[in-house]
Amino acid sequence: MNREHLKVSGIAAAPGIAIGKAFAHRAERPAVSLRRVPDYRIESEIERFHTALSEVCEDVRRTRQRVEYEQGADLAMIFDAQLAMLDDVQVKDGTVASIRSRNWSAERAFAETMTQLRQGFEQIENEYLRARVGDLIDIEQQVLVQLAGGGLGLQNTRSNTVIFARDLLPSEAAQLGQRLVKGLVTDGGGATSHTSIIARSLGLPTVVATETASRLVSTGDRVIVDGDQGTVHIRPDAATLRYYRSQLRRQLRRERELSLRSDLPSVTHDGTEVTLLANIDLPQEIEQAVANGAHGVGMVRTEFLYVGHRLPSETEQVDAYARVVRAMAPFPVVIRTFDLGGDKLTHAVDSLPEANPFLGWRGIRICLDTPELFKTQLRAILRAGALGDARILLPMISGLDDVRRAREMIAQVQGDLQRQGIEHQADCQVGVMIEVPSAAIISEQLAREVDFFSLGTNDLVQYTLAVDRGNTRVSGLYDPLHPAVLRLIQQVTDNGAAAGIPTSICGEMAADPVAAVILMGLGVHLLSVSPGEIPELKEVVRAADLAAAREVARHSLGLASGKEVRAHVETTLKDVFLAAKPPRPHEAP
Amino acid sequence: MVEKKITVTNVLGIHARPATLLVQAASRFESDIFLSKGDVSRINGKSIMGVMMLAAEKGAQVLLEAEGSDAEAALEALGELLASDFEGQI
Repeated sequence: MNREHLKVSGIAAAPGIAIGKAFAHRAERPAVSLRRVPDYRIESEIERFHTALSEVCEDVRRTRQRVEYEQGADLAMIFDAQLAMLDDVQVKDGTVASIRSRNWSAERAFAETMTQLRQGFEQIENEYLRARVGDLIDIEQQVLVQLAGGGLGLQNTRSNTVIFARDLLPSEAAQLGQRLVKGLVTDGGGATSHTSIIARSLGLPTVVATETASRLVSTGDRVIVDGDQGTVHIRPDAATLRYYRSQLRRQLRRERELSLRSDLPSVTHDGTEVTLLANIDLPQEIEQAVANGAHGVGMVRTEFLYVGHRLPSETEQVDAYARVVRAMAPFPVVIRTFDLGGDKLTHAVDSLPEANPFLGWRGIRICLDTPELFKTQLRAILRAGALGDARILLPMISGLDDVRRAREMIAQVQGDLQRQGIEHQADCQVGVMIEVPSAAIISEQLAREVDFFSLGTNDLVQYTLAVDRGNTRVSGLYDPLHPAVLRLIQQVTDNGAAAGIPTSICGEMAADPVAAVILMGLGVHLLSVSPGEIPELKEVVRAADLAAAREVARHSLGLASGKEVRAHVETTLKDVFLAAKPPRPHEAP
Repeated sequence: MVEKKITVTNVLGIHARPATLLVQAASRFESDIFLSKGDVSRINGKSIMGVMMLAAEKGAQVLLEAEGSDAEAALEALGELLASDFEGQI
């Protein structure tokens, strides 16, 4: 392995600088801990083993289902053997006995049990059966990975850690919010992939689409992540390290300054109020949102509340939403109903593999087709609304029919709650995501049947421009400032204003200062961003002039490309951006 | 306890699939199920690892034992399965 300083470039996905030790996340067999389990922890160790086994069983069952669908029932039978092995009494009893009588860790006890069984198999003369050793190894690997933390295997990290991975599953990304994780680097992904969104919401400096970083790094290497420039330094030389240490100090100083300004009102330089809202992935983020001065929640992404393999009960949902609604009262909390499908938690519902998941069974389509799932969530939202002001946001609306059917179900649920005498919010507002171009095109009609619009620009951009934001070969074409996108947004805000309903934006583009100014100019006066992005965005709002913003927005609609739009806005309103984000004193090495 | 001697007829013996089916079937009974073959004695009939390691090939003589409340029914059902070629079950 090359020991020299390496600089790798990618896409800046979450801002900030992180300096730490690399942790290379590879799908490898984790090391088996030899630690001794104290007597009082034996029962919880056994419990941990059983939990890991059932998690792996779930995974295998899903794989089986997929294989059966794609390849037929015959091949799927292989997985029945694996499931039977996972459920085997010898495997379970052998492991539990070693944990109990020898105080071994679940990993060690299980690995030892499997080794013995494997040796037994290798003795078998029947070639056919001997070949099943492959299944044993496969299962052993899966259970050990599960025991090591369900994918990431971060238990043994002791110092500031930067995770390097080919890519992360949403369930793995959700584990990133651990104290010692300071940064993230992935080979794949794009700025708006869900891993990036989670990283931003956790304030984790992140660089994605590096293509090679995870293969160039070794666990334990010193690394630097520059989430502003989109660069990664592996084993940096002394000068680079010095530069970034001083940058890190500057970053911390800036954060302190901004936190002192969090009580200042969010009004433009010429006196128009622009409401800043927070996008929330996890209920605990609400505290940061309140501390940073959010005047409401523009979107709660409910699917991220549940990274387990099962959909949450009504009570669990009421608790989660109530926490957010109560903390934000009297300001409104917009709760988006499950936006499953696409690339998000498809295992949570019984979905089948699709050739075009983004054009498939997702969002409101799943909700309308699975009324129990949808109604349970609607009940929970309405019940939580009794504590403040909850609003329902419907994702992936593509036509009026979606809205009408959803409103019908909302009315049914309201009637049920009324009859059952359960406390709930009777006058709950219902809005729609504008993220499918057809919804933007018929926004005039939609505006008559809903209470508000919310621009989901991440999807609106990809559907309008026909660009997969996760595909690194075309992600460069993904451009929120494309005049086609801006024109659609203008149509929506105009139609909303004519009908007297507000349009907010909850897409990531709102956090980009240039885009934020254009959006204000197009009439979007409700901007929703990750809690951590609110202070910087407020600086932009306070420095901007609405009249000037209208002028640059109008001009942008007639330009040729997003690149031209950006250049035009940056030069015309240079002062705004300088005030909002002072440049670095030196060029990065 | 009841027992029965059976000759395996499946061409490939009790390989992975038949073993899975046998264990699935055995697990439906409350009774303890044991299988013996030659010098391998009384392996747990509800353990796929055990059944596979028994490595019962075509023509092998297997002793099936069942012990418990539904032992008779278990013996009959499993005996039938063992003596079959399993194909109808797949």
